[in-house]
Order: sequence, then structure tokens, then C-alpha cells
Amino acid sequence: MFELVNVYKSYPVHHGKDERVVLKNINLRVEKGERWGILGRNGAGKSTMIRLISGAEFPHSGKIIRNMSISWPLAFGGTFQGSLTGRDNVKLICRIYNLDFESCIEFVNEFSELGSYLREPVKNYSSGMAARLAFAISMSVEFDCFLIDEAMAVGDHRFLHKCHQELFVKRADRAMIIVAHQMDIIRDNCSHAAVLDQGELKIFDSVESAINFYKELNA
Amino acid sequence: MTDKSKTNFWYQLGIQRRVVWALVMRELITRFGREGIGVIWLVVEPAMFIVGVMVIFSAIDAPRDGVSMAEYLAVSYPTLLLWRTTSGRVAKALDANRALLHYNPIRPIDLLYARIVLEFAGAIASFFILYLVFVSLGICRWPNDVLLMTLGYLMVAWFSFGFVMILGALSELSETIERVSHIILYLMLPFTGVFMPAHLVPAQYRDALMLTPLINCVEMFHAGYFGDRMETYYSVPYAMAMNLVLTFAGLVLANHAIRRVKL
Repeated sequence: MFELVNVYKSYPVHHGKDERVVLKNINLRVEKGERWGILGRNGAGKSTMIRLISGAEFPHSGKIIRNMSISWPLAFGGTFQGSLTGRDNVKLICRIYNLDFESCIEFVNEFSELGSYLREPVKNYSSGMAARLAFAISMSVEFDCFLIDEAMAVGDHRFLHKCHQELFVKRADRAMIIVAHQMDIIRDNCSHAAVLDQGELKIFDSVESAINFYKELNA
Repeated sequence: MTDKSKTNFWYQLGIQRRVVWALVMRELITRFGREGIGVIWLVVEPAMFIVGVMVIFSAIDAPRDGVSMAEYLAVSYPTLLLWRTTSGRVAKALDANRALLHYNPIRPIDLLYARIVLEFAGAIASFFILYLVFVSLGICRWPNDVLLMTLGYLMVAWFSFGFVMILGALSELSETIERVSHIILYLMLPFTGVFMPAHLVPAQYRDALMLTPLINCVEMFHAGYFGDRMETYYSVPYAMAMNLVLTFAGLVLANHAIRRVKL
């Protein structure tokens, strides 16, 4: 189980003289195995919500209760140190999550198909290669809940299919939170949906009604 | 609901130890790479600094009371490394690594701890190695009281921890402090017991000087090394009480700064 209780988040603006409220009074409860889609326009606070859920930022007030392990935003390569090799980045994750490095690197190597590039600094990678490494590392840790921010722009068509297989088919029993402004990915993969609008989260009974509401917002 | 075994203090401490270690190893590679002498720079860099300062000051100042300038600096300057260079490193730790916070086990304070561990390790190792070299060269002697000297050094390290946490947190909170922090560090020098040992200070000012916790720690360290060869002034209870206050203030401020971390 994972829960946001009355979460409120604001950022100081104008040198702290004022504040911009990004999220107000967010409540969301995600049970084991549930797949949630969160829709929202640009700037609606989707990424802020993801950062709060992953624990990268703290809410201004309210509570976040995590009773399951939650992934970092998937295919997220922002944490890669350019001067480190792919292997070293895998090693960091293994140390942090207490995983066996040998089996991990084997999986990453097989899945990402990066071959000898794994021994080169990440800054030499193309963006597609970096995304493949990021996704492969994400799949080597067994989380109870996966966070997916926006459509995953991961490499070519073939690799995208592989990712889909690995995430939505092999890990069908896991909880997921998909945040996007595209409706298709949410319609295809989610069992529950909510819309983030002007800092408030509206939860709907069905995915279809959430999508309809979102369509009206954009109309 | 919550798994009791996972909220256990020792279990959590285990995670933190693992995470800090992972961060230290990452930092080692990013900072020193795998080329050339690599991580040995961690020790060589401060060592070069100490030797350089010793050479310059030996040339311009004469021995006092049978203690040569080189000998005095060899057991004084290394205390500076603990708080001075670490301060510079920790100030940017949160800012430079905030993207790592997406990995849930990494908590912001671990980023600070990792840098402190790394800098302290370099400072301590370079002091230890240089000291043995200086003893073998005849510049330094064996300590008069090893236990007192070690405890004094640990007190300096303890002070440095609190000091670094406070300065690191403040520079995260205020850009002004971040900009003037190196000025603060420089102007602190007379009050650190390194360039001005307490016995050289006129008695009427000494009491005021002894209010700074760092000088108590450094004098204690000196007492352990020099013994009767140098007059030292320090109060262990006072230094411990002040260090405790600094540590507490540092942790509170760091916590406050962390709450405001923004990606």
C-alpha cells in the first residue's frame, strides 16, 4: 500500500517573498497491483507529484506513507554521472539496493544490448543508448510499484516492444503509477485514473470518465 | 501494516551505512577517475599542501623553545584540513547530487555524510602517513601521550563535523553565506590554534580566545604531542559541551536545509 494524505506542495518565488502552490490537498491511495494513470496538462504538477512519490522532494505539509518499495521514475537517466561507465552506474545501484552485482550486470548487458559500451563513460552514449541503460537498470531491481513519468522515449521500436513486454507483461502483478498527458498509454495500461488540474487531484470511477474529463479540459 | 523488522533502528542504520558507502565509492571514481594514481590523490593532495606550508614558514620563522616551525606545523596544519577543506566540499553536496535523491534509499543527509567521510578519510590518512615520515626524518618526535593526542585529534574531527554541517546547511539556505563562506573560513584562521597557539597570546586576551571550541580541541591535541615542551590551555568538558551544541545545531540546520531541497 502506498498513500498520499493531504499533501500540499509549494515553491518559494521572488526570493521567498511569495510562494507558488503546485499541489494542494492531494489524496491518493494505491493498493498492491493497482495501475494508476494520472493525466494532466503541462505544468499541472505531474512531475512534482512524481518527485514527491519517489522521495526526491518533501511535501510542504501532509503525509506520504510508503508500505511498498517504489521505483525511481522509469527510464530516468538524470542520475547518471557522465564520467562514470555504464558498469559503474550499475554498481552504484547494486550497492544502494543491496543487489548482487554479477547477476545484475549480466541482466543489464543482455537487456540493454550495449555490449562493450558498458565499459565506456556514459557521456559517450547516444541518448537512445543512455535510455536503454536506464531502463535495463530499472528492471534489475524488483519493486512493488513502478513510477512511469510520461511516455518512455526508449530507443527504437524493437526495444520499445521489449520494454513493454518486460514491464507490462512480466510484471503484470506490480502496482504502477503512470503520469502522462497522452491518453493512449493510460487507456491501454491502467485500471484506475485521476486527473491533475490546477493543483488538485480528481479521482474518477473509471479510466474512461477520467479521459473524458481530461478531453473537456483541453477542449 | 508497516513491517516492524524494517523500521528497526539497526536495519535502518544498515541501509544508511550501505548507501553512504555506495556514495563514497561513486565520488571516489568521479573525482579521481581510474587514470594515473587515481584515488591516491585523496592522500597526496592534502599532503602536498602540508609540506608546502611547512617549507614556506620554516624559511621565514625561527624555532621557538626548541620547537622548530616545521615540527610545529606538522602537528598543527593537518587539523585545519578537517574543517576547512571539508567545508568547501560539503557546501555543494546537495546541489550537485540532488538527482540521486530519486533513488529512495538515498536520503539527502547521506550526500553530506558521504562527502564528510571522504574528506575526513583523506585528511586523516595524509596526516598519519606524513607524521610517520616526519618522525623517520627526525623532524617530529613520537607523541608524548598517544592517547591524549588521539583524543585531541578526535575532538578536532568532532568539532569539524558540527562546523561543516552548520556551514554546509547555511550555504544551502542562503546564497550570501555561500559566497562569503570562504571569507569566514579565512578570517577564522587566527582563532584555530594553528597559527597562534594559546601560550603566545597575552594572558588578558587568552580567556576570551579560549571561548572558541576549536582552539580547545587543537590545544588538547598539542598537549598530547608536545607534553611539557609546550604550554597548552584547554578544557575538555567545555570543548565537549560546545561540540555537542555544534553537532546538534548542525543536524537541525541540515534538516531544515534538506526540507527545502528543490530539483
